[in-house]
Amino acid sequence: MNLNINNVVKQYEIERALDDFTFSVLNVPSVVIVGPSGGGKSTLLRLFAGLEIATSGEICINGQEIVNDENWLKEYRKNVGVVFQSYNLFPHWTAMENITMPLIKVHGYSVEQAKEACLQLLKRFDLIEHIDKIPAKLSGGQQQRIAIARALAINSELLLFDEPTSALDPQLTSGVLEMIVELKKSGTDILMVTHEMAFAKKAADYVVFIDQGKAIEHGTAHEFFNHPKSKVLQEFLSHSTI
Amino acid sequence: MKNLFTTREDNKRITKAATLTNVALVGLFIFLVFLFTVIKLEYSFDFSVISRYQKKFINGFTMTLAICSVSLFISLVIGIVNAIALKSNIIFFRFLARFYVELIRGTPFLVQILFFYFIITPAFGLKDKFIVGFLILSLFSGAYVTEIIRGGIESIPQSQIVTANSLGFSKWQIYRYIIFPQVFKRILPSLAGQISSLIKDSSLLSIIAVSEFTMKTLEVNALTFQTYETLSFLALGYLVITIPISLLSKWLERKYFYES
Repeated sequence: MNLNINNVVKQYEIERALDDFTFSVLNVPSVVIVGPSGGGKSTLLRLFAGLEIATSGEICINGQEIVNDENWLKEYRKNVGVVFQSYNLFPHWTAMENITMPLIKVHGYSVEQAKEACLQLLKRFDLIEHIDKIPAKLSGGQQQRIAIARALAINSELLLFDEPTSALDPQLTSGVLEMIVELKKSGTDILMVTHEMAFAKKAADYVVFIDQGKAIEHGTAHEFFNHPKSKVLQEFLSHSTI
Repeated sequence: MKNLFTTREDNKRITKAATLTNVALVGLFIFLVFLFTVIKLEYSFDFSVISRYQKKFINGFTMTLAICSVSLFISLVIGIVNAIALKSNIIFFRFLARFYVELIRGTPFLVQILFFYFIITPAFGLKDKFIVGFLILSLFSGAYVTEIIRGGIESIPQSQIVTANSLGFSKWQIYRYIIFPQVFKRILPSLAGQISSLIKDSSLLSIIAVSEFTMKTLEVNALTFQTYETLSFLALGYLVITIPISLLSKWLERKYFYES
């Protein structure tokens, strides 16, 4: 994926989440965003997802500039898969409905086409036994994996993850992370915000460290973790378990 | 012996014997009040009045059911439209909806009936009492239904809306497929309660001579002066509808309490 972010500012009523944020990468399959809480990571991801609009500056993903227009964003959002921290699945729908309803109602699939796509995905990720369960009957990890399957169903080339494991019990995170690694192997581009440093080190090609609304440091996973330059990052890494 | 009349703080269970005893006591209490009024008023009963005027009662009861059914439907429509208007980006709609709800909830139903009957009805040339009746009742109940639905919508976590947005659902689709199906389940118990209120409040329409159950009963009373029989029968008529609804409401509450 190619990312090009120029002088992006995101100003909320009182706080400035992103402050003259500039960053770009070329031809990287997976980018992981790390940094302390409240540093602007999730805001950045929401801008990528087209869920919020930057106050100023420009964002390009794979050569496509995100346009500051609600109608344009609506179309754009249809083709970007996003997985949030938690509560991704709609509680009144079964696993299958959670996957098929967006396909039918948003993407114009017929019911059969949607079911077929859903079955394929659930088989691929070994989730077929959960097909008729509602979210309340699934573990947090299973819910997240189904949410990832749903994000994949629209055939987007880029998947966005906003701390997909941080609301899960530790023993449930591995299943979700394994699934993400498998996606990466199969050629899906991944942009992810995470606290899982060990995972970042293993799966990321490129890592960005965000603090106080700025990209403090970024580089390939190898140089990022082994030769951090800035003091803040050194400090941050020393406190994280890798 | 003590167990027959009181429960303990740590064990609220009531035994069968205690239930029977206390039901009998309540019955006795009511009977004594009844006896007191009968003696004081030197009242003599003639229950044949009910069967003699059964046509009037049946007509009134049917009318009440008809008005309430239509009102229930219209107030649901008003409630849904208004609850959406309260969330609208168009400020005029938002203010209008808010104003309507506050106005209705802040004034007595009787005042609304009089206002509607003496001002709106002649101004718009409405003649049919049935139409006037269900319009007033719908407008009244609609405000309460709005608040019930608004509460239901607000109980849907914001995260679901964000997720739905990110999946590309339109605003209308979000309401249609995600919010409303969940809201309706959650508000069913309160909605059932509202139906019960609607039926009870409809009796006030007798003030403007809509020929519903209360009105018809008052007519029979005016013809026969058998007040005790007619009014008791009237109360019983309402109970026949409201008690099942109340039970239904409680059942729904338990059902969805365990499900969520």
